[in-house]
Amino acid sequence: MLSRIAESLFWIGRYLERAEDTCRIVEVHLQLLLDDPSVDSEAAGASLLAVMGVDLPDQVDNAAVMRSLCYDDASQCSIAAALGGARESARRARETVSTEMWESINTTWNSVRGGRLRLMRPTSAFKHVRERCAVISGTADSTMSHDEGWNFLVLGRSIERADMTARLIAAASSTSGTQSAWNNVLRGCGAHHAFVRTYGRGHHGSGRGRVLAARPVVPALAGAYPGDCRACFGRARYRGTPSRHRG
Amino acid sequence: MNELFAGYKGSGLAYDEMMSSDGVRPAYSSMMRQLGKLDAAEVRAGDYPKSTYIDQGVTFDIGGEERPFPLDIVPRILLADEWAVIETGVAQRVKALEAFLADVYTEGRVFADGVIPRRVVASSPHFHRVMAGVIPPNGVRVHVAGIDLVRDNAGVFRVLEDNVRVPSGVSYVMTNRRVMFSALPEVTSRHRIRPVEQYPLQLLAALRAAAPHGVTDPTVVVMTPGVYNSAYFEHALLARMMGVELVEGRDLVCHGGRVSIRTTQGLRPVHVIYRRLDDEFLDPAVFRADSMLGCAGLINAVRAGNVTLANCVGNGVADDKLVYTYVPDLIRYYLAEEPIIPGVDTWRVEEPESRAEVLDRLDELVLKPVDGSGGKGIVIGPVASKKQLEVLRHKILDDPRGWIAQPVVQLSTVPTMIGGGMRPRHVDLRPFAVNSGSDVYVLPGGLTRVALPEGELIVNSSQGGGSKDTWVLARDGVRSQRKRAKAKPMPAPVPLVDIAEEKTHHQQEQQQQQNQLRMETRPC
Repeated sequence: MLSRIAESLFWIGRYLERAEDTCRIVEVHLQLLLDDPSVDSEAAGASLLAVMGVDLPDQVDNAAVMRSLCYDDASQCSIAAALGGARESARRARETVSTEMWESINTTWNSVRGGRLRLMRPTSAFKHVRERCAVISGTADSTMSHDEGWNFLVLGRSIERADMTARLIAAASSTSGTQSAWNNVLRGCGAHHAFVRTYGRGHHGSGRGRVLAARPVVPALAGAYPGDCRACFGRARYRGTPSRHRG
Repeated sequence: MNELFAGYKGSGLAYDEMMSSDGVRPAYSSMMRQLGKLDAAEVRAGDYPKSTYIDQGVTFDIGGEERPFPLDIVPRILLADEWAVIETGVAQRVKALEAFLADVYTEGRVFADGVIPRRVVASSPHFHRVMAGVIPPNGVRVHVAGIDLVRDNAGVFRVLEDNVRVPSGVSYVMTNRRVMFSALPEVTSRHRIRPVEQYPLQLLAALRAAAPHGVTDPTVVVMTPGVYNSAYFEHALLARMMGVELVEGRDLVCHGGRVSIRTTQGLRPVHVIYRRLDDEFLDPAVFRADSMLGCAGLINAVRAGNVTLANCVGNGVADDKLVYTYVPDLIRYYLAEEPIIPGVDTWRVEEPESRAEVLDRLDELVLKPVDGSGGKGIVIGPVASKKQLEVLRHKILDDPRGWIAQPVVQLSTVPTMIGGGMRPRHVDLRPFAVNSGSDVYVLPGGLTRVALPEGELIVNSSQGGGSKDTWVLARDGVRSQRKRAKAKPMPAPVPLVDIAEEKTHHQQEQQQQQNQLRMETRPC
């Protein structure tokens, strides 16, 4: 396969994962503010933005957090920008990506671009993004051939997931760090159910430890992924001349 | 006449393809009846095609913005007899242009025999001397051609221009058909429409046939200028449907007169390139040195016979509009046949006596630059302002070789949904021909472009045009009632019953009995 296409697939994987995980991170953040009245929302917002690598605006209220992490097309870290990036990468690899997958990415982008995400209520916006991402990865899984290109897609996704999960944990621990905060983190990863089933409610330990202990059973957690990346690297055996990302 | 088409009549002089003075023409009667049976409001809304195109990203770029290509709900319909003329006429034209290009770039018999002056070709900006003496592997230079046709006031098809460089639009023929089938199954199922799906296969076969000598299993690629090109969607669609790679210039490497693509497994040789960018951008070492889209060394590899470009470099000579005026003579000269489809009467502005006449009648003629495509630079005399005509007069005097003049041809009209009603709008037709060397395949249908503003005669998509699905009906075109085929032996059906069903049923019964038992034994 063309090196350029492999690169595009890698970035589709990264951008989609970034959109989904950013959505989960902001959700957890908002939930923490509600659950723990002792948290200073401005400081929490500032530390979240810092963790996500956003330049701090003058005033860090919830609106600013939502703007720079969700709606703003121009902000590097927003969900809208990530979905735009995924769509642009898919457009460049359009003859390789399956028609169904391209269409689901394109419809997703059409539903969020130009501030359309802002028009939804935050909860439905998060739900929408999470569901669309699930549709895309489900479609990708069942309609793309699981060849070399697929490995690049999964590689991008795994690397991004490791990155974003680390940010999620960092954000939660700097904000609150109570037991209920860690439960929220697990819920944010869609991992709470799996965690409770495996370890039971009685499992104690430090908060971060609790979460990290969940890694063998929960796909959305960082720890599981270095192995996956290694496997993808092994399968893809990248030997061509690498070019920088021009996407 | 039903509600939808009530009060529809053609527009003045132009030939209306649905209505004649005696009523509805046979090609359209069934379509009109079937469309009339549908819910008029639903047909009027007509958002189905638009939203599908936005979801699927069937778009073209204008100035960096992606727009869906508007598809009209009313198809354009051609009977088998009408199509037979177009099919043979287009194939004839392609063969003649092939012979002409082969001659121009080798012996030049046509000049020696005085059919066309050598200066007409030599002064064309698309004549590339670097291709002189290069003979493509199977002799084909025009792998794909798009011949633009219009229908005059008498309903006769005429050739408006030839496109033998990189004609585009074929993707819309395929996507339009698919959208129409899903939007109007009631109507489409009543017609026997010749399919358009096999185009990519025909194209791939022609490209493989053009492989360099000695290559039995050639690697074919489609080469695109990139995502910002107006036809990028088409490039991707063709590559996907042919199952080949879509490459950009930066994916190619030329070394030692050979071309390779950069893959994840290293360099891989390429044999046939279906290129969708203009000659000038192909090879910065030979043409425009500032081209970022091509690959240096490409032309060298072509000259060495190690790679085939489709279409061939230098084809622009044949679709130069001044050469267009000689095509009937070329057909007679090379094929010893009379042209099947006539052209439009044309004045060669470079000839002094024609020039005098044209300058005299600027306000009633259409003036076209000889190397323009896509309706660029065309001036329609009757609607141009005094100032525009004055500018035009100076341009013509400066560069008479650069212009031709034609009478205003009233393009034929087809009913088109405009603001909830049917209005006559002007259309043209671009049939696509694929030359595999052994024969010329003409895709049944082609792209019908429609000018959406009232009275507009330029139908190009970059000028705010839309398109229509073009139906070529088979011989017994309209199905009155679906005939029942003789019953074929059918495989015995396997019942779709869950084998565990019975067991579950028993379980449920017992569970319910348990409940009852408990309720009964409960002390009151």
